[in-house]
Amino acid sequence: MNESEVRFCTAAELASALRRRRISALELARAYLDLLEELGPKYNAVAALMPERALDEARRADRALAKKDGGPLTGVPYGAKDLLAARGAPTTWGAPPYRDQIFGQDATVVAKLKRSGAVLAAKLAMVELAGGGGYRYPSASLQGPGRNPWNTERWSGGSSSGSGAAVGAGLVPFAIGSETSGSIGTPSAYCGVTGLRPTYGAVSRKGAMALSWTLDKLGPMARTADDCATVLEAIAGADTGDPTASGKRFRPLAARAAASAAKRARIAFAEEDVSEHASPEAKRALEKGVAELRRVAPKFVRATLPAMPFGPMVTTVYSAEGAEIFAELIEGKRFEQLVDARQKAGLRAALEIKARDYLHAMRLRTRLQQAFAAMFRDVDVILSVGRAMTATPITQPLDNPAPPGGPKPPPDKRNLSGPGSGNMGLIAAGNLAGIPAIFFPCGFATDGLPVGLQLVGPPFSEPLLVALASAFQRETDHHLKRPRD
Amino acid sequence: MTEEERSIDDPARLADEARENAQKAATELRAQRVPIETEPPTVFKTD
Repeated sequence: MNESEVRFCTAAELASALRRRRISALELARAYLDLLEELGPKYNAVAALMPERALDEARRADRALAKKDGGPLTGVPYGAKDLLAARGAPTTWGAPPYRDQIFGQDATVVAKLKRSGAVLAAKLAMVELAGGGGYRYPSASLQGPGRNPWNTERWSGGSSSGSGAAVGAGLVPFAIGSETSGSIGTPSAYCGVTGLRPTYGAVSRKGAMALSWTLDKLGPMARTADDCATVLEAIAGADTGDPTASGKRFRPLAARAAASAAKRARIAFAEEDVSEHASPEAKRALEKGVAELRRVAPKFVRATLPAMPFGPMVTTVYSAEGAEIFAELIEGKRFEQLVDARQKAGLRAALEIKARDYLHAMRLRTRLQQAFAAMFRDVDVILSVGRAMTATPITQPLDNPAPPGGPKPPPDKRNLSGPGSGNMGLIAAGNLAGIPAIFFPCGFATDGLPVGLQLVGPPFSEPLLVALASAFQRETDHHLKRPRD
Repeated sequence: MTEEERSIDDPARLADEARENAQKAATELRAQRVPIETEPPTVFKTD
C-alpha cells in the first residue's frame, strides 16, 4: 500500500492491512507523517509532528505484529489534541503563553494508546485553552484558525479544531479530542467525521489540560463509529491518577445484540430541531438523515428536554472553574499573549463569578440529571442535529450576527430552552449531565459542507450509541465521502 | 479587520460585555428555584 492508498482508510482497515503484511507499521507511520507534514499546514491542523516517537512506536508495533501479538490498534497512527501531555513533546494547550511547555509524562490516554500499540504521529491544533472564557474568532489559536477540509475558507470547529480537520482530511485515521461543552461535537459535525463524547469519568483526564474539572471529557474522533468504539475500549477504565475516573470498562455490543438493540431502541426526537432550527442550507440533508436513521431504528417517539437555562448553567460552571484554574495566568503578564480579546475579557470577568451562582448552577445540574433519568425511563436515546448549520466562515465572529450580506446568526445562538426549542439545547444539557453522545455525518448541505446528527443516552450507554451509529453507517455512505485537496 | 470588527473588539467594550453577560447568566440562574435538599452532583458510581 502506498500513501494515497492508506489515506482515508479506517483504523480497522489499516489494522487488517498490517496483520496481512500489506504494509508495515513503519511504512504506515512514514506515510502518515508525510501526509501530516505536507497537508497539515493547509488546515492549520498540526501543533507538532512527532516523527521520532512515531517511528519508535511503529518499530515496536512491527515487532509485536511479527509475533502475532498485536491488537486492533497495533501500528495504527493517530493524533492527539494538544491539551494532552506527551512525554518530551511540546504541549501548548493552543495558547501562546504555553508555547514552550513540555511535560515529562504521557497523559493516561496517550499511555493507554501506547500500550495498545497505537502510534502517536502528531499533536493536533486546538483553540487556545479549549476556548475557556468564550472566544470570538476561529483564529483564537496558536496555529491560527482551524480550516475545514471541505472548504478551507470555513472553520473546522472548536475547540478540537485540529482533531476534526486531520481526521476529516484523512491525515490520521483517528484522533483524540476533548469536550467541555461541544468541542468534540462541533468539529465532528463541521468536518464530517464521527465523534464520541464518553460519559463523564469513563476516560481518565490525567495529563489533560483542565478547563472545567466537572465538565471535561476526552474522546475519540474517527471515520466510523466502530473505530470510535475500538479507541474507547483502549482508553476507558480505571486510573488512580484521576479521582473522577469511574473504573468502568467499555465493551461494544456483539454484532447480533447490536442489531437487535438498534431495532428495539426508543428514539426521542423533536421535529422542530430540523424544521424550525436548521439553517436553510442544512435542512434538507438533516431531514434526509433523520429519515435514514428511522429506517435503521424505527421506534421514534416525541420527547423534549426540560425547560432549564442550559446556556447560563454551563457557561457559569466552566467559566468559574476555568478562571480558578487559570487565575495565575489571568493575573500575570503572560495573559496578554492570548490571541482572542473577547476570550481574555471573559476570563477576567469569570474571576468575579460569585460562589452562590456557581453552586446554584451546580445544584441545577443535579435537577437536570434527575430530569434526564426520568426521560430515560421512557426512551433509550435522544436524537438531535449535530449542529443546526454548516461550518461558519473563518472570519465570522462566533458570538455575533454576521456583517451585512453575510450568513445569518447561528441557530444555536438563539434561546435554546423552553417552548419551541425542542432538543436544541442537547449539547449543553448533555454535557451538564455528564452523559455520552455520538456525533456522525448524515449528508451534505446545499453549500457542499457536511452535516450530522447526534445521539445521546444515559450514563455508560456508549455500547448502544455505537450500535445505533454503526447500524446507520452500514446502511449509508456519508461517512465514507472524501474532501478534495 | 473591518471598522465594525475593530469597534466590537475594543477591550473596554469587551470587558463591559463580559461583566454584563455574567450578570445576566446569574440573574437567569437565580430565577430557577431549587429544593433545599438538592446538592451538587457527584461522579457517576459504577457497579
